[in-house]
Amino acid sequence: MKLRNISLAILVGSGMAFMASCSAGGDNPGIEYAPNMYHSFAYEPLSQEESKPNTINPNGMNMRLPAKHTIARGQSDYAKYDFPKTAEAYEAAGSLVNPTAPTIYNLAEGKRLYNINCTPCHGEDGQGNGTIVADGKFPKVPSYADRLPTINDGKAFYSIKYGKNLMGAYGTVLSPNQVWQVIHYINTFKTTATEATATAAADTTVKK
Amino acid sequence: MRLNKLLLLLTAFFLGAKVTLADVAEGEKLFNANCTSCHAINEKVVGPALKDVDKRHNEAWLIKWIKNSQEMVKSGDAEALKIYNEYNQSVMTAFPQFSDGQVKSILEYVKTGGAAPVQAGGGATASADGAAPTSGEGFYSQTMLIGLSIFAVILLFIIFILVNIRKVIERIYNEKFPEELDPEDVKLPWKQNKKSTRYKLFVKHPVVGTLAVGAIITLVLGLYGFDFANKKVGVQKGYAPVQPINYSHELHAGKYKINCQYCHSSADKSKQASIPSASTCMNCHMYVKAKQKYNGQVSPEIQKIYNAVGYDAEKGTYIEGYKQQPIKWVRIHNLPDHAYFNHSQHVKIGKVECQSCHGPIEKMKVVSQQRSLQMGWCINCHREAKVDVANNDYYEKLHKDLKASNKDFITVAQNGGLECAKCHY
Repeated sequence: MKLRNISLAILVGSGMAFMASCSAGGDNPGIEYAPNMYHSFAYEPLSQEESKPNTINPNGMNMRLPAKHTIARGQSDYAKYDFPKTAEAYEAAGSLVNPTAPTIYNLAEGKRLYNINCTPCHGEDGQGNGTIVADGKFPKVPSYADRLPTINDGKAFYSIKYGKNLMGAYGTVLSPNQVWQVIHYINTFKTTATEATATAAADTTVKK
Repeated sequence: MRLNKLLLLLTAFFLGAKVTLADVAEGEKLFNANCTSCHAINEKVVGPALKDVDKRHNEAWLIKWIKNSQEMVKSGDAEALKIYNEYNQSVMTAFPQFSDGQVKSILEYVKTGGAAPVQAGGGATASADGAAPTSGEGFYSQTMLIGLSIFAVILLFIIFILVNIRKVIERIYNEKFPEELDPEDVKLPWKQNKKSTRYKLFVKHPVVGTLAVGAIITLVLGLYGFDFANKKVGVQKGYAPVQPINYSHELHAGKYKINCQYCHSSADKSKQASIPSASTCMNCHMYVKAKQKYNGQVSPEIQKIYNAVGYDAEKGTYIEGYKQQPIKWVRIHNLPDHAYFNHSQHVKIGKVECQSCHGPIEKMKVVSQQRSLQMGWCINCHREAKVDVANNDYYEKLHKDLKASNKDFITVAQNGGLECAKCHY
């Protein structure tokens, strides 16, 4: 009687353990029913299948770089922004003029993109005290108020698109239009910095 | 007379010391504002490490170089040309706006060995800040949990004792007053007790009994199996594979608060949130090598990025002609092929937080799938989420209708978010 109970418990327990082993966790993605419905028959980007390696593309990747000299839709002015990575190109880029206007939309979009891509180093207020700089993991970044008077929009565009000194290139992440929007937003730091000093001075006079 | 001279000397010395201190402070400010994007004192960054620079070159030369290095290169200064060629002919920004005094103050600051103590202090406070909330949280949940479980064990023990006491009393009572015992209550083994249900089922009508037991087992197993098939088969909730690089979202997104879209930059532009290209990693890791943690060696995990793209950490340049290799990440969140999902739609228009589908990513050292990604889960959100019609010109007509109909909001479901062909086509 007791033996029977024990063996029953073992049977049920092992059954449950077996079924639990089918559920996902750690390196195990879990049991799959009808894999044909889960995995694309066509090659999908960012999801290579071990069972169906891509034999056409380099490195077995489903994505590949666009053919050389391809221009993305809506970026017909791309060639205008195509610079080599030299000091002369940086100077030459100084002649670029921001083709977008500082509208409310462009500024808001610039702010959104700035807060995503620039704040880790440059900080939310453009003082150069972003989270990784404040922790000492990255060298001090100059504040926009200090640096902006020495460069113009065109050079700023080059620095963002191709990188400059320790700053990386953001041309792969931001489209030229987005870079111009960010520049509109960054330019507001120039005025806000002077305004801030003005208000601070006003405060002190009031207190007196 | 002598005393006077001595005093004079002393004052001069202290004044001198004071001046130097002031210079160092100004130099630090200038250095941080102008030089750190290329130079560090003890480490080669874009330009050379500046330690002992005053021993390598004389001061007049340095002042000239800092104010306009290109002029020196063009005039054919041997020292200048050597550095220019050593650093891949990259041009150092000219600083004609500096006065000689300012350059000297920067050099004074460089002589002091830089901001190492300041940095260490910053790091310590940051880690202390980081540790405080976690320990507080741990105290709350763990002590509470332990306390409650001890309490539960004590309660269970008391119940056990009470039940036993009752049984013992009953037995003693029955032994003492056997005449008060109801003869019908006397327990017979079930095979002889013709009134027991067990006898009726298994001895009198064995077929009925077997069927009944079979039905119960089928019901229980069936329910279990149904639940299992519903929640486990094809559902990868909890999947947390080992990735090729031990990348911590807790560090990058949690501690350093780097926006998700910094790396997953196409989440607002395309169907895929995308795995960042190695160039995105290199934006920071060109400099950040986590050497303090690994006794001056480049972190082995960061080294994997360098190996993939062919970056020479010592020289600070990309190796020419290197055969670059993609990093093979393991995909975690995978919707079945028959369901269409578009990130940009949800991130840009729907303004859905990444965490609502991916869980508290900023707390994960190893990413695991937190949501089931099942259809019911999708639909649930579509029924609750409100469409932001007010700030989107595309929904102008919808917004007008909404205002006319006197309702406060419209959900995704009401806007056709439950139609089959929205996701399955």
